[in-house]
Amino acid sequence: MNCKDQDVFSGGLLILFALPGYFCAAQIENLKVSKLSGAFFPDVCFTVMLVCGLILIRQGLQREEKIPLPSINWPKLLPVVGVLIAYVLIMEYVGFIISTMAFMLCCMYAFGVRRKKILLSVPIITAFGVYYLFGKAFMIVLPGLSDLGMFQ
Amino acid sequence: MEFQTFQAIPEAFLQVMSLTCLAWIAIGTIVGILFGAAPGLTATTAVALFTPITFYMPLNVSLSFLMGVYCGGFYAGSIPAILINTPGAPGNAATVMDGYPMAKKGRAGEALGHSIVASWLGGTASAFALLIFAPLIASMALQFGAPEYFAVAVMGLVCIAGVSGKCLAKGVAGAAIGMVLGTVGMDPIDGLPRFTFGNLNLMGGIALIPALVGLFAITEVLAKAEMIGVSTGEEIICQVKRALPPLKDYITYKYLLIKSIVIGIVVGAIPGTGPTIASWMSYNEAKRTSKHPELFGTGIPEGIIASESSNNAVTGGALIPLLTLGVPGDTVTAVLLGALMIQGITPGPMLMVEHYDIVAQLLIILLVANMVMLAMGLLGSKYFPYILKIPFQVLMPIVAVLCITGGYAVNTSFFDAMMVVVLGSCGYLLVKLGFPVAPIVLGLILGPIIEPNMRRALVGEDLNPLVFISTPISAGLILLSFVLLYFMKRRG
Repeated sequence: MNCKDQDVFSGGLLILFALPGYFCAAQIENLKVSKLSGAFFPDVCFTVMLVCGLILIRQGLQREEKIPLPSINWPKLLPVVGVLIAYVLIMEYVGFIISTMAFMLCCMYAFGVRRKKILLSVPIITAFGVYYLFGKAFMIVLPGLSDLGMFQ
Repeated sequence: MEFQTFQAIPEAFLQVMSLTCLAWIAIGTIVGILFGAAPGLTATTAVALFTPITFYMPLNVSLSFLMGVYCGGFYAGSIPAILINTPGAPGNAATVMDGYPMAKKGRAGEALGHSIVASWLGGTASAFALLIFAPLIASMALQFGAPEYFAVAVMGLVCIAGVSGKCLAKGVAGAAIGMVLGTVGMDPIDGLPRFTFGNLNLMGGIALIPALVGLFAITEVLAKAEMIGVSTGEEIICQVKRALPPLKDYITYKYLLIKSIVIGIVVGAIPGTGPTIASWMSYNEAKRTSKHPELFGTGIPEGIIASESSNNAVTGGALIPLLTLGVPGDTVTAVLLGALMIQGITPGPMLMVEHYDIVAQLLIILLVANMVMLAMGLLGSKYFPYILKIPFQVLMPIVAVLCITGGYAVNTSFFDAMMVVVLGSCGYLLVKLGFPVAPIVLGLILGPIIEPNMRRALVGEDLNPLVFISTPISAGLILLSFVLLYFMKRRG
């Protein structure tokens, strides 16, 4: 089986997702009075995924010209995902403004911005701008330093 | 059942004409134009990104803002199509054919002018179509029971799965993935937890807003991150002079305009189709019936008028199935459905009966938003090249901040903010593998409608699966779904 074909790979992935899905659905509690358990609909969805997976594998194997797997530029992608995860995690501890400025600085640097004026001004304007826009215009209080007991 | 159609309109008009609503329509239109025109962003991203902030707004204000974004975003995709030969959204792809050559000839202002006037005419006409046809369709939909709702939702999923990607199986699988995500949380009938794995944050299910923001906006950010250092090589045309096109053109091309608008409304009203099909159909029809088809593609107004009027006629058309049946007409309306649901509004025939005032407000807002869009398009065309010059290295981190903030804001939950990143990253990998995002989102939205109706219908008929073809409407809709699947499969 040529797993390097995009359809074969996608089909395999769907099956790999559907099979444990059946197992998890089987663990769902069932009320004895119900004619249809809560697992019924997820099972239908997993079956659709399984069938689609098989169709994709068949399609990929039958096609003479293979569709190559997508090329993902991991060195460019992973730092951005990492910075996004770190942003959410540190926001809880240092508040919105500091985490946003740090995130924007790292993100723009990772994106190739090197001009100091932009690297400094855009994070500050964005962090304070969004913080006050959400707080004043939309009445949504974002986590601030006061949440940490500072500046109270 | 009677609809209070016309009585509700004057009252809705007065409500929309408040300063607050007008200001939010204007802000929404500007935001929509900025997002529609900015490289790598679309109207769908804009609506998804700004839905969280509408959560805390009064209903008429949030509708004003979102409709402004919706109309502005739909139109603005034509700006990069004309100025840099790259459509802002797939629905504006046909505009490239004549818009860019016209701009290259030094007539960028005229091309932008035709685009805005045609978009306005299309959008306005479609709002009137919504006014006329929505109550008619809703009156039919009032006879719907559980099997019919199930059938309508399935048809919506089939349509969007079929047209939003290159491969039908991946579209259908995407819808199934979305529906599985929709089953996380409490079982809607038995009230027992499913797929929560002991996590209390998942008891309420996967929140719709973080999912929308993650799947539509974070995927764009990640796509752009991968393109760092890759030059698009497109030349931006910066000279924009006169924006108002000669009005006699619209008298000359009146039949072309009417035909394109009708195509836009009809195609838009078919669930799952959207502006791409409408604008190409209109463009091809204009070329086919033209006295000088050889001039199409060289920079003539007919090409722009046909594609743009049809593209914006989809806005009202796509709202018809959304408001009457609760089934979105395209991707943006799928996101709008989510936005309406977080406001506690469930689109469908009962909305038309019980809350026609809301529908009337939506109609008036749509008309006003189109007027504002026209004014902004004519006045702002000189500045559009500057939007295109915003470097995405600066724009994308700002978008990412808005995504995370939006995800957090709805429930002030860090878990939801993390869901934005997780679903966005997973969505990006799925997109890379050729799975379209729209069916996943629609599955997530329609899954909780399909499941209880499917289970109720089956339990009510002692688990007899023939219940879904027991009434003419549900049988017809299921049959239509299969026919559509067959033709989509044949189309390849």
